[in-house]
Amino acid sequence: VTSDDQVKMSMQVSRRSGRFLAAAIAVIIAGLLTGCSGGNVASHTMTKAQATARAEQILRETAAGLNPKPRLEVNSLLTVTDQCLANIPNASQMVNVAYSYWLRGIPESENGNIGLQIRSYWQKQGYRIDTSSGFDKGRPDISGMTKDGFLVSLNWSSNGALSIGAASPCIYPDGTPPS
Amino acid sequence: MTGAEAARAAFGRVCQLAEEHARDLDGPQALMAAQTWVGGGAPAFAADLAAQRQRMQGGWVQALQDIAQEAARQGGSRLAPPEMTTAAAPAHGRGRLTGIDPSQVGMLIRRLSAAGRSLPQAASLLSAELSVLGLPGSPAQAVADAGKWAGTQAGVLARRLAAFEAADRAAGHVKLISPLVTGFGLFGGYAPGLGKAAALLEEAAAGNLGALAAVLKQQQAGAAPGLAEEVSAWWQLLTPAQQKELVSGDPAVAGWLDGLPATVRDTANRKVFGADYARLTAEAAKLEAELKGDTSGLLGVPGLGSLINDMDGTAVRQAVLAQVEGILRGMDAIKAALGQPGSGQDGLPPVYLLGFNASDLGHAIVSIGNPDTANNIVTYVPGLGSGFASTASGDLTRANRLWRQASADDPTARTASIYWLGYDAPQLDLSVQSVASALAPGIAPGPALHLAENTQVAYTADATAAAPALGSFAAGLAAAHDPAFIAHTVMLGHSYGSLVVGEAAVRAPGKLAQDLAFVGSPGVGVNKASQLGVPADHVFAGEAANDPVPGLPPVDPLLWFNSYSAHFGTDPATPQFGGRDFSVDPGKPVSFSDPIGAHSQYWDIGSSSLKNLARIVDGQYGQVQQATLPQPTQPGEPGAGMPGGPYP
Repeated sequence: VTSDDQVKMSMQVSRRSGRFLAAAIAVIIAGLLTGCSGGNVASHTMTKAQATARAEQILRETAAGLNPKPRLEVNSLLTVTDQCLANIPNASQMVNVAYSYWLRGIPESENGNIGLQIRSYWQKQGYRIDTSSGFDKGRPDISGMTKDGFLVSLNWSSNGALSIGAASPCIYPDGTPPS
Repeated sequence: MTGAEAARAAFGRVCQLAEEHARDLDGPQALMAAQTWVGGGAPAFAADLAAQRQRMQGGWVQALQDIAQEAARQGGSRLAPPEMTTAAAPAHGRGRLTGIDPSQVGMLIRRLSAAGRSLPQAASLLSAELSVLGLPGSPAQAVADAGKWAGTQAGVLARRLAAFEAADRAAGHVKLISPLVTGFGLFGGYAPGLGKAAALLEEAAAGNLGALAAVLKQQQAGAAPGLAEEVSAWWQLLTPAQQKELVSGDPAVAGWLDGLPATVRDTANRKVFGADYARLTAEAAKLEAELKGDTSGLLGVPGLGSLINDMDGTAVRQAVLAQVEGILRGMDAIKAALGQPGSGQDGLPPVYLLGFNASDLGHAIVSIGNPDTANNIVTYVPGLGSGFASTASGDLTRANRLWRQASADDPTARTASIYWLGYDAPQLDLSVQSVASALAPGIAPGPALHLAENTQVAYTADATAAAPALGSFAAGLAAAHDPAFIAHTVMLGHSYGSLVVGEAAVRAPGKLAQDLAFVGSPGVGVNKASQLGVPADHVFAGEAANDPVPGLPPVDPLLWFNSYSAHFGTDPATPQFGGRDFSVDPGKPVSFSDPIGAHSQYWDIGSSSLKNLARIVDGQYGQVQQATLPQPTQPGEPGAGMPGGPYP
């Protein structure tokens, strides 16, 4: 175990102790307050059409500045509207809208470079980057989040192709809870 | 002719006889040794064959020694018996699992059959020679026994091979005999430890449905290791008519039988599903009608009956109706996912129902993609509060999303993503109130179900009960898998499901799956990755910083503020556990309205968690991002979070 590891481990220790305490305290306080809380039920959200348009917009704007310029092709595997899986009130009435494009026409040798450009663009947009890796190996992977709660992702596939995706937060398909 | 001359003459004849027949079992033994016979009864058969051969050769040696001694006793010259025993063929190795050419089995049968005819004849000649000289007949008996054994085995093997070839013809193609069929089908009688199950399978083949149910019970209890393989081989040796009869006779049993092909289980379970759906829909309608009919109420006062000790049964009916409707909602979700048999929808491959019953909170196993022909198979075991309600509210969608991500990451692989609700998950009330009251009993009184009241023993009981069934399911996947496709298997446990996976892994070291993955784990029942029966670098764990479940207090209060102890052992996502901690986005913080925070966010599309799980499923270990601690934001890099690096 190197001293670096020890530092990491002790940091992890404090992270987790803090987390446990925070969680415990939060739920205890919440428990004391419960009965009157039930969480804020979202009264309105984006509609499905708006979420789709927003996801597409994020992806098209991301692709627009890339060099070399990719041809966008819908990645049907990761383009899907499905259940809201969040633990929030009314989740069963909400959906999650995900959109994804393959970036076609990019030589594999440019994959790392494209990944760096995308990360840089997303950072400039103020997106939170949660993970990013693989640029030097030409296998870039990024996960992040836009300010309006869309999960954005750059994904490397084993056939050498890259895809970018944007997934909405949970929304009511019509923007408001079904009556 | 003197006695010595007679003995000498007999010695010559027996020498010749021995030279002709002492090697009669060498051919079969060489065939057994040359093949990569694996598992099941094959090793025991090979050992028995070697023992028979040795005893038979020993018989010839003994007979010649006895005759030589007799000649010497009668005053004749000393006779030297020739070398009769032949070197044993090298023991069969445990090589790669490959198919076996049926013609090789045919050759084995012919050689055994020939020995079965020749050895008894030779034995009777030997017996006569010994008898004339007044010598003991036991050496001749050894030769005769070996012959009888060989003849019997040839018959048994021939019958089994014929059954296999008939099944093969029915399937319309000729394939290699899988090692499983060889081990358990052809040499099934020699399979160890299956005693009772083997007998039950024989009865089931004859149409005894009770015996089939008993086999299933043994599987679910993990009573006999190797039973899924045995069932697989047994099934392949049945005639199509026998198979059809068993599936239609008791689909509820056939549908759960581990080792049967996915297509067969699917057919059986859809039958059960259809019948149950109709029955429950009718039951719900009846209850609704009864409740409506009660509007007048007791003594004309609506609701009065239910208030007075539920005299009119209204409250009971309402409770039952709610339960039935909950089950039906889960079934609706399963129905929507299943689509038509053998055809996919929404860009997904065909979906298979590998297990179904509507009892209690509901049990189902749903596979997106055919696991029998898949390259990558992931089995997801859900956790706390699982049942048909959670199936409907998102558990199936999780399996669906993992299939999508894994397939996008490796477009050339055939992926099967399985949702395994094959157990009674603990129904823990994770409402704010109950968790709070569990953590601070006395301060925040809550509902009856408390974490604190679920003591370690009682609370692990559901996982302990589930582990054998999960192990059997995994063995069934391996047994039913088409040998033409290489399979990579992953077992994924979420929340309490990770404890189920952990217990199953410990129960069958190295056999549950090649990779184990845990997310949002409250502990997996052991303190070290190396205790799970797979190499530690094939044990993966992901944990969102805002997931409170891994931080649930251990049972022992002394460990409460120990950073790496989770509720059921060392947190698998800590360095102390020794596995591979992969990166997960921090997720939503715990809040008043959401006491479980990021615990349900591991399958968010585009999240590093879902992507890492997909990399594990695809076996792209180099792409799995290692969890790192948050790094300070770099100047000029707004929003720079935690650039997790890939594993070396």
